Amino acid sequence: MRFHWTTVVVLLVAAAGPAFLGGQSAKENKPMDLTPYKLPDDLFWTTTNRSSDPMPMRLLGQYNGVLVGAPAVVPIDLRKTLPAAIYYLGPVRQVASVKWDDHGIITAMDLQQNRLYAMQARELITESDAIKSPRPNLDQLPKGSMANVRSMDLRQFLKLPWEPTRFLLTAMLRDQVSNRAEVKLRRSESAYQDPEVAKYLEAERARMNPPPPAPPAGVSLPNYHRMQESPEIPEGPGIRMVQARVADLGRSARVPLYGSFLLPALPQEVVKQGYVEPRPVARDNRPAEARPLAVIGITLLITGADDGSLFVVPMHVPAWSRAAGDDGRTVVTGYFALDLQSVGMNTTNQTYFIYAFSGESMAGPLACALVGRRQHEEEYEQ
Amino acid sequence: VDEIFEEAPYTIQARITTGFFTSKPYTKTFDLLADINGTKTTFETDKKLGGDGTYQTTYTPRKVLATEKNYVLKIIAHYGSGKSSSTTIAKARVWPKVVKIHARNIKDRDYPGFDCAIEQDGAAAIPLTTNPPDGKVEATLSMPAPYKITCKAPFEILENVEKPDKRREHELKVVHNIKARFVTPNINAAPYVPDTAGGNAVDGVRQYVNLDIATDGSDALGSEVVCTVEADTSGPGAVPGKEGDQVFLRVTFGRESERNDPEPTLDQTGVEAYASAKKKTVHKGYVLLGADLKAKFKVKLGLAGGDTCTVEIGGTKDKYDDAKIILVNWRKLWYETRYPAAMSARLTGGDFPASLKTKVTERLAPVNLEYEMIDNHSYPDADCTPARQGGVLKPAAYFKEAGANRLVVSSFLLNVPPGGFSENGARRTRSVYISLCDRAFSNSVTLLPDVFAVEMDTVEKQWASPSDELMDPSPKDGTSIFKVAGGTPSANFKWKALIASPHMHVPTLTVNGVPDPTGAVAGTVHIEKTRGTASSLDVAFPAKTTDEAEAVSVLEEMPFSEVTPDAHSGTFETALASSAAIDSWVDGLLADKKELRKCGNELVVKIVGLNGTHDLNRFNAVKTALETRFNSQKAAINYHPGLDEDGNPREGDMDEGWFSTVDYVTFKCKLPTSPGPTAAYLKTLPGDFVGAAESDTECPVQIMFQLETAYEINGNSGDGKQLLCLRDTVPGPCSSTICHELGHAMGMTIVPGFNNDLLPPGLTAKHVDNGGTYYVNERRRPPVALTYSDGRRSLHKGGHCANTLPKSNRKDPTFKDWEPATGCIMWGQGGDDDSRQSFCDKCTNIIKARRLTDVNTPFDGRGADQG
Repeated sequence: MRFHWTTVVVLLVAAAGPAFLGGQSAKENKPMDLTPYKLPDDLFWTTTNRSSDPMPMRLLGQYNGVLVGAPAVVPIDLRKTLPAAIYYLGPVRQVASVKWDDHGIITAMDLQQNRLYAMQARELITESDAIKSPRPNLDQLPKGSMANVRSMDLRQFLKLPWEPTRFLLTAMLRDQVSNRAEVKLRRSESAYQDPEVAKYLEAERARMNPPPPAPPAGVSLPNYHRMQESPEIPEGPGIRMVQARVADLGRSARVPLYGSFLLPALPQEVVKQGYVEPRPVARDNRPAEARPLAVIGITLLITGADDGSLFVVPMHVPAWSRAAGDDGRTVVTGYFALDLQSVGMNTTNQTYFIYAFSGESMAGPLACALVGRRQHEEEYEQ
Repeated sequence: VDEIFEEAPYTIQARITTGFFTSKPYTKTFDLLADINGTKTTFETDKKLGGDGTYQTTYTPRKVLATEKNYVLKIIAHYGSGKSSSTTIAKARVWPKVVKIHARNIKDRDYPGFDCAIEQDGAAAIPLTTNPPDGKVEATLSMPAPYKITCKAPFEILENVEKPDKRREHELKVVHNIKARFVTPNINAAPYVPDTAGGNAVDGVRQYVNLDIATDGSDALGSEVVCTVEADTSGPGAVPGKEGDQVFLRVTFGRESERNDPEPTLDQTGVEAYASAKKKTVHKGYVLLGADLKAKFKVKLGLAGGDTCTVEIGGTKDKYDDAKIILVNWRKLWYETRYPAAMSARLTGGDFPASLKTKVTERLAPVNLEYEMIDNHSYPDADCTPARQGGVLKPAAYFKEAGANRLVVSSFLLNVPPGGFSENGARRTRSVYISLCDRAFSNSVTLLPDVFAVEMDTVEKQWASPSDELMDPSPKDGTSIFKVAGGTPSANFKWKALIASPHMHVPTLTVNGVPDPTGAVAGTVHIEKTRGTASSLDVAFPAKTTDEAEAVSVLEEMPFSEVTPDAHSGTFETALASSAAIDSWVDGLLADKKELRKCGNELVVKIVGLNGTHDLNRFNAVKTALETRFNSQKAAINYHPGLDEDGNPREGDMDEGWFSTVDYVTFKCKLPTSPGPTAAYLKTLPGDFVGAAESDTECPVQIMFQLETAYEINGNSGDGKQLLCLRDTVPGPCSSTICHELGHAMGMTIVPGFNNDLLPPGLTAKHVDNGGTYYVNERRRPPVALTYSDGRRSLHKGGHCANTLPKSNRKDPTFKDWEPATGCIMWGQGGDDDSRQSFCDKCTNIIKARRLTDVNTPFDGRGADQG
């Protein structure tokens, strides 16, 4: 038996909507218009106490979940930082027991490069020799709601490139997902806008060929073709994933993840003349692969429910088919399947939440619990 | 063969006979020749024997030539017919009379004062001493015979050269074998200390190689030591040295460390016959005593702690057993302490308590490092305020401990003013400035106050801190950690009564039972609302017609005070003509719910009127009308002390003063209450009506506030400064924290490719992903595939060492929360368990190899040999 199927979860989240339209918790998933609570952009730089922002002050007791606040526009020639705030609102008991600092994840998707930047909330604590705070007695906590607020310069912490682009900021806490806040990095109006430069860069991107598929296709996995377990291609832009709800490492050392997608390809993701094909001719008893239409960046993000661990797998997934209704943009479909263990996911027995990011699309959380102990574990640790 | 001196007359007496059987004196003439090395010289001719048949003559042999050691002289007689016959009649070996000696030392320099002797068998030895300054001496032999030149210890003739053309001149190469000793370094006296003092087994003394060379290194300071040697005259038979005497030396470097730059070596300056062997670990040669009868040479010890250098000397060639010193490379770093006067008693002269100091010394000894306090600075307890930024003194009970006050610090609460430490320029780079405290807290700018909206169900409520710990005042800015104002835009935080249900209550009416005559007017009953907003009504009773004139007259004639209560009883009517005015007034009051709530849902009315018999009738008439109307019209309203006049839940501004900390993990809030005598309906403060459940008189109260928390740290370090929590009750773990922070100052640990990864030259470091033990808390970021790789892990800040980590935990980002039972001092987390008692072997090797001339600045950016 390859792995133990308990329940298969199929998950699809389509492309995200505009920024600040959707704060969502896993349980409620009720879109909420956060516009009234959003801080004016300038105040992100002129004040520092995000605890007094309208988000925590006015939504306390009204909203449970994680929210991201950030300026909508950052003039990169005038500003040197990307201030952002994470607001974690909920019942005191919940916020105190499932700590943001232990479990929080912050991501920024560079929409121009289709590249995901991610960090753990614990990385915000920069002290070298902190003593772990004693766990509070939950019975002695105040009754009510609280907001945990963190403020940071995302440019510094995520090492973001400081060039014109668009970021989608998203925070996760286990299976809770925040609103997706869009931040435009651009030159201010006082800076000279040279359309030729923009045109040149655009042309350069259009000339680039994508990298080869990664992780490279294996004998069985990773695989970039439809497999028996593969989910159907989404009807609209998005990613679908299926995964064993519970994977017993004692039965199989593999933790396969199957996915499909329908996604627009960035100019640099479209395969062009001169593309170095990974396996243009048959070898090793495997058939030669056709040249893909595009190689799409899809990044998996896996977080441990107990230890708050963060594991990121940047993938370059070949797409073989053009989507129906392609209206001039290159919209492609494809599949991916890989063994999460073989790409280094840790083996601690706990539940993991898997997310997938590509451009504006985000899928997840997909829960997968690891149980049992891998046989001959030592062999794998070299 | 005779032995004769040159130029000394050689007497020959010869008898010449003839005949075979009978011997007769020879009567003819003969010649005598001297044959020297075949060269014959006739020195007498045609001689005849004397009457006694003999002939005697003398021959003076020439000088022995310079090319000859001696020569053989033959005296030959030519005789017979035509003197054709010859015979040797005498034979002598001719010796030079004078021998010249020229003594030189090993460097071929003239060596005066060389004591030697000419010895010939059968003659007394001729003592000689070579002359200054040319080291020469001449001797006249006692007898024409072989001779030899001898000397006694400590002199020794290494060579006796007789040149072919100067066979009588002896060129001697002589040495004066002394017993050598070290003048410097004098390892038997301060500042040298035996290396065994630190528990180290090496039988040597400590040389502090990271310190500047003050003089010549022979004072234990510096990595180059000039050794001065001389003759040891102290023992029996010892002789004083002479200029030019040799002192042989053998220098052996242990090379215990892998550090290879600078390489330990013997400086060849002034060293003769230098040679090295065994991969340059053994160096040999000799030095010559100078005019001051001393000689110097220099050993370069390198910079690695624990490296040994054994210097052996001897006054005799190839013997190095006269004296020996072993220098063991140690390093010394300094620290200064700073603390409030309140902590003085716990320190030993400003230094760590003895129990702690001993542990620190023990744990640094294996890395050949001494950590020495060079200065201490106390400041007044009065400076322990946020304003003075000397930390804050908190009662021990705040931390649930017993004992004296605890000094609490943070980056804000403690600010070292200029002059707080010595800033000794010469020592600064090797010094760590330690600010001592009991507890240290931090909350970086990313951690903002938590915002709360919580319920109060009693006047005073105590809670556990939901986030981290409480350090009041704020470690960030010294203000209160409780905040109830602020906001963007600015706003005060509110408390609010939590009332979910309506509380419908019928208002009550309270009327005085008897008239109040104060200010009463005859014929008029005055109704006055006495609680809340003022309202009144005058009810005038009509005058009786017949009495009207009289009544007016009386009133005009008599002062009011003299009017008896019943004076006008018959003047006015006693029945109400109409209650309409009263009804209207009551209706108005009942309609004003806002006013009713303000008054506690109670209408309190005072009726003013005279109290005569008829007056009472009028009073009762009014009262009855009032009560009748009230009772017929009263209707329940939503009334609760927690509701405001508009019927909305009360709310108001929060006040920081309501909050306080109980201890570092507990805080409380006490709601305000009205003073005891306050009328019930005026008790509108949240503490007046707060209760566990919503009832007609009580309700929970929601409060909003911000609470700033902080997390505790063991200390921190950077830029040559450290913050250290003095946990003197657990000296073992605390000493490891001191060593741990010092380890960071020394650039530990080193994760290749990460910041500050400059290694000591010759050493390597490996992280947990390539077979080593080092890890650092930086995550690889996309597009790198694996988040935690190349030694990156998700725990602790900075580079650390997980030397005893089980293999099965290694790949996990947090090592599966593993904690060592016995780990390296550079493991990233310490507690009160003494689980980090020593540096692991790898850390030990690197720390030993470290150049410790600067522990203030990062190792990054330094030259390759500065690691």
